[in-house]
Amino acid sequence: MVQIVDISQSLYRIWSVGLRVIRQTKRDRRTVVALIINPIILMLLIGYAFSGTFTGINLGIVELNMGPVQENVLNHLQASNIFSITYLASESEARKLISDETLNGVVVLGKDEIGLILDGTSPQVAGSIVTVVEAGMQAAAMQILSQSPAPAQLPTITQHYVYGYDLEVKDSVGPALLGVTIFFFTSLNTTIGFLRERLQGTLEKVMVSPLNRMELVSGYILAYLVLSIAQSVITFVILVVGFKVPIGGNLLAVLVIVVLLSAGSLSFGAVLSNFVTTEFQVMQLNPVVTFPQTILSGAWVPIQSIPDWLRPLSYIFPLTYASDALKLTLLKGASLTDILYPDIFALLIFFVVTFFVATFMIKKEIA
Amino acid sequence: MSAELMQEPTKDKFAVVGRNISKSFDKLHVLQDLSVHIPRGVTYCLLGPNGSGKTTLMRMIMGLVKLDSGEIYVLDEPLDRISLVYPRLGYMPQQRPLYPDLTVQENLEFYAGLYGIRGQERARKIAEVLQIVDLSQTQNRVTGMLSGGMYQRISLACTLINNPDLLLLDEPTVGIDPVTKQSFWGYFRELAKNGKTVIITTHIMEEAERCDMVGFMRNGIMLAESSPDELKKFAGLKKRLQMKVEDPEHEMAKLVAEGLEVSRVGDQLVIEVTEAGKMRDILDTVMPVDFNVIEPTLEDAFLKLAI
Ligand SMILES: Nc1ncnc2c1ncn2[C@@H]1O[C@H](COP(=O)(O)OP(=O)(O)OP(=O)(O)O)[C@@H](O)[C@H]1O
Ligand SMILES: [Mg+2]
Repeated sequence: MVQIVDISQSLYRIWSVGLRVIRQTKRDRRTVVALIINPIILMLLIGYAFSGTFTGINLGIVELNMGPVQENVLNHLQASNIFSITYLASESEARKLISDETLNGVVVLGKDEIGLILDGTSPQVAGSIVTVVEAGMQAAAMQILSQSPAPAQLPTITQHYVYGYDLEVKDSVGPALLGVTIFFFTSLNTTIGFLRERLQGTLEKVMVSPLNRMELVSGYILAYLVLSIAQSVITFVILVVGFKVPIGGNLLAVLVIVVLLSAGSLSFGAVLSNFVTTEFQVMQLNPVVTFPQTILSGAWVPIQSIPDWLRPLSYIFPLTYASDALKLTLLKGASLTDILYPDIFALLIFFVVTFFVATFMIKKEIA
Repeated sequence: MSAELMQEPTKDKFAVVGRNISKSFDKLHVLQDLSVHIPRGVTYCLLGPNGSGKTTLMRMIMGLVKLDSGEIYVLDEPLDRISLVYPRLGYMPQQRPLYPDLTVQENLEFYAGLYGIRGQERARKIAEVLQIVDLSQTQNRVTGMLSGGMYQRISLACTLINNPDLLLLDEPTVGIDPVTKQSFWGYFRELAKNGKTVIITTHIMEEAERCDMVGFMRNGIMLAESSPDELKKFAGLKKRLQMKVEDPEHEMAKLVAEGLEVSRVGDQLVIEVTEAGKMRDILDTVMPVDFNVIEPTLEDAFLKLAI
């Protein structure tokens, strides 16, 4: 059946729903506090380092001048099964490969200097490269010391981060956590929001008005876009002012990511609300759905440290793409076109699918 | 009048027509081959005990519950086009649909927004519905902090915001004080007089008695649909004459001898009477100390039909 929808009336209804949701959120002090405090707490928590076993780190090696020490370091790198090694001819080639993310780091074995060129956006990966190189140096030093005649001078290790600044763990995890925060806040609040609408009978009353299901979900999206953007701004301020993270990002690209992610998370939350009947169940269900995603998204630990058999899961979670896109835009200054595929594309699919499922399911919950 | 026209009984005359409606939830038969006819411009009461299917039927009329079989027309539209009449419906669910964390004004603004009512018109309409439920002074209070009855009244105000042609009110007067209840009923009748149709569910007889029509439900079956008076006739109820007499033993024997069916409670005799003339004869025979004519109530009909 074809219904002629007056667009301005439709937009006004969407606006009415959005305004109402924002008013409700504003009235609820705890939610407002959570909106502001959550990112702060998360950022503070990032102060502690993460450990884990890494595999599949793409390492480049440039052999400039091979002496016994250099050989020893190389042997260590080769013996460690966490690297897949590419041998390169020059240092400039190495830098280029790091920039386009083919490599996570490069070890330049020189005569007086063992240079480590590392990808600053993955500090844990960088850290594990440093660890192995240092272990190799130590072993070499032991050997040399036990030799007579007098040992040659040991080469020094220099670390160099490609992006001009030395990032700490929190710097790189910060942007990704923005994604996690938005996802948590938005999906949890909409699951509870829709559940309440059903329990307090407002959903039923709203269904018997000119508002259609798509407008209802859109109204929620409108409200949560405003809230998520506010939250992002707060997180930025904390990152830039509080932690002095150098943000060189393209803010338009960041905005697109935030908008797509919160719209998708919201629709996802609306879908979840169909599987719960009490707020207690929401608290039980939400972690089951969001924790694996958070852990496997590369926000907390790099994708490289996730076991191979779990990695396919990472690639189906929207948060993986959001984390990646936020890291790229905020830390590497990537533009919208740089992250179009796969990140923006994946987030768009996530949103479209959950939006239609959410819309479809609202009707179904009425027997 | 042609035969084709005759087949369209929903036109003009009825706000809601439902035929042969059946519905089960799992194995529980909630409505069984039920038909309902609600004329336009009346107050229509769906009366029945708890669990008889009143709310289910009401939700069905709005397309919120799917039918297993049967058909329903609402304001001339079949159920699959029900959304066309949504702008003209006013629904007050049994659970009061308000956002407790918003103020009264904000709740009303939200519902007004759904119907595209805005600006000056919205302010005027909000003032008007608050006047009707006599709660103009609560405008800026947080809804969740209101008393139960006030909450209820605000819920009715929200239902009236779009000036609906068809109101579906699920037990609208539960928990309302008698004075307000009185004014609600006055308002419902006024709505009906102005051509609106008001459907009300209740299990309170006095309320049903105030309606133009009663649909009497039990176990998902429509037992009868008619005016309260006709319903009493349908139940075969008669007036009863209750007399206080000095010698009940003696007077009773006299009446029984005349072939009347008399029951005795203490010094009171009770007789069912059909005609007024007959009543005078009895009074002349017995010469009671005191007497009373008891009109049958809907409750009597209810008890008689529901068992
Ligand atoms: N969604 C549902 N799923 C299962 N059973 C239901 C559902 N809705 C209603 N019922 C059952 O249908 C029957 C009729 O319920 P309904 O709410 O229509 O009764 P009612 O006449 O409105 O009662 P009350 O006077 O208590 O409001 C009840 O037995 C109820 O448990
Ligand atoms: Mg009911």
